[in-house]
Amino acid sequence: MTINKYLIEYSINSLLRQKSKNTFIIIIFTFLIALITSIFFISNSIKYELNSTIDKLPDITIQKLHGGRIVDIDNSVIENIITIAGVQSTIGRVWGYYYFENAGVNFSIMGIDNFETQYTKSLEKVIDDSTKTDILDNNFMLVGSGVKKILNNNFFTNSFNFISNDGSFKKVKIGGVFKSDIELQSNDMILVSKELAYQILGVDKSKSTDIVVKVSNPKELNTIVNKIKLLYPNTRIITNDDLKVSYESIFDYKSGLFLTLFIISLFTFFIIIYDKTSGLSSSEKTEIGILKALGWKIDDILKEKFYEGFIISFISYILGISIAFIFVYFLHAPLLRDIFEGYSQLKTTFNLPFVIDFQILTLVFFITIPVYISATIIPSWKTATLDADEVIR
Amino acid sequence: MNKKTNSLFIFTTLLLISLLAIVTVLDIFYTTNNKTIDIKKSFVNIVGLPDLAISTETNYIRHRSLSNISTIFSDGPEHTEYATASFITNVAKISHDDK
Repeated sequence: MTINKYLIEYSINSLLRQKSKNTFIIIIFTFLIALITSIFFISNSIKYELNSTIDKLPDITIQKLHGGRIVDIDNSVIENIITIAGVQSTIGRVWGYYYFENAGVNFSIMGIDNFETQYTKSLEKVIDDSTKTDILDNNFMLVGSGVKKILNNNFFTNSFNFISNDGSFKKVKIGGVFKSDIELQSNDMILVSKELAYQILGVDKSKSTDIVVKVSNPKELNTIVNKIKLLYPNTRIITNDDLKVSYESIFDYKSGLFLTLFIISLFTFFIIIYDKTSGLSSSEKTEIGILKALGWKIDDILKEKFYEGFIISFISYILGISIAFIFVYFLHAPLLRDIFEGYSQLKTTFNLPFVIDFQILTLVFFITIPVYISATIIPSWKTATLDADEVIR
Repeated sequence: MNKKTNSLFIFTTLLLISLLAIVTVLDIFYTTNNKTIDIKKSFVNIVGLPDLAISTETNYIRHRSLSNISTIFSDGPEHTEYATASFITNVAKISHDDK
């Protein structure tokens, strides 16, 4: 197929003749493409962020269920599980949430063993050097930047008074703030020693929130899971593979606001399409009639209409994608971000990692451009196949 | 090529160049580098908890993968979905029954 530049010239003139209508179509079309791709970009970046660290998560997490609710698990279980062949290590964890009423936010508190030694070694990597303070005893905590901000706003600059489960106050110093690079993971986190976590969360010393198991050979994982299941039928066992599946299905396109946004975008798009396919205006029909009377073939008319549709949809596509990139990654997706973050006061900066996924770009290309072009061509074809005489009249 | 076709061509090329420029800038400054991934991995290794701190108002969204379908009832039997983020996040389909 050779490209007839005179036909392109004619298409541009034809588009310019209806400047306001076509500008409006480009604006709406660009907006729709930007909206759809923004949602895809956000969910894609979040999935990427989740999947980049999944291998470092525990192989198996064991939770105890009581009447369908997750309850604390006895520490005796830890000793029994470690005896299962293939289990490398078993740790009972103490973690939970602390509701800070002044700001109306939930902090996640995690207690870790050997806090001081860990602090000097691996924690060194994740703590912002400028925020480190000299700590002499075990009575300190490491906080996420979101927690630090909330505490600062409430005048807790160096330490924080936890109201522990028995109602007494527990003053804990702030030993450091996590680096801003890991804000998406650590924003609401408070890391304390296990002992402190027991006190703050009010967990019985003979119990743990859950148990994590490390397995020497990944191939033995399922066997070990079955053995634990047989030993403790009242537990819920989450493997690393389960987490992978869970991460894959984090956003449900079938429900809620996602669906609303999708439906609004697609319906608006299809209303434009419907408007185009439902028939040409009398001036457009006359134009086709005149072209035919002048000797244009149906083929030429369709080509000209194809160029028209392609120019509009391609420009909108490129503009839409560019706007989506700027909106999501440079501006951190204002408004759309609120849907993902909810109304909590403890918000991250939503600094998402940039991931380019050609599948998404191709998908958006094929659900928008061919539909629009065909919506331009089909009614013109219907008119072009009629006699010129009939059309002009 | 005539004037209008020329301007359209130039306009489209400019659009494509700006898109490429945006992608390049994002690729250079906004992609997670190995060092950052390493820091993230260290943190996750220490803490051992899955999911991101994007939405923290409920535990079934904050630690979605560790919650189950009935978690929402533990918060209060009268609760229906109320957190904005719960309208877009799917319930983690991990159940002890399918083991």
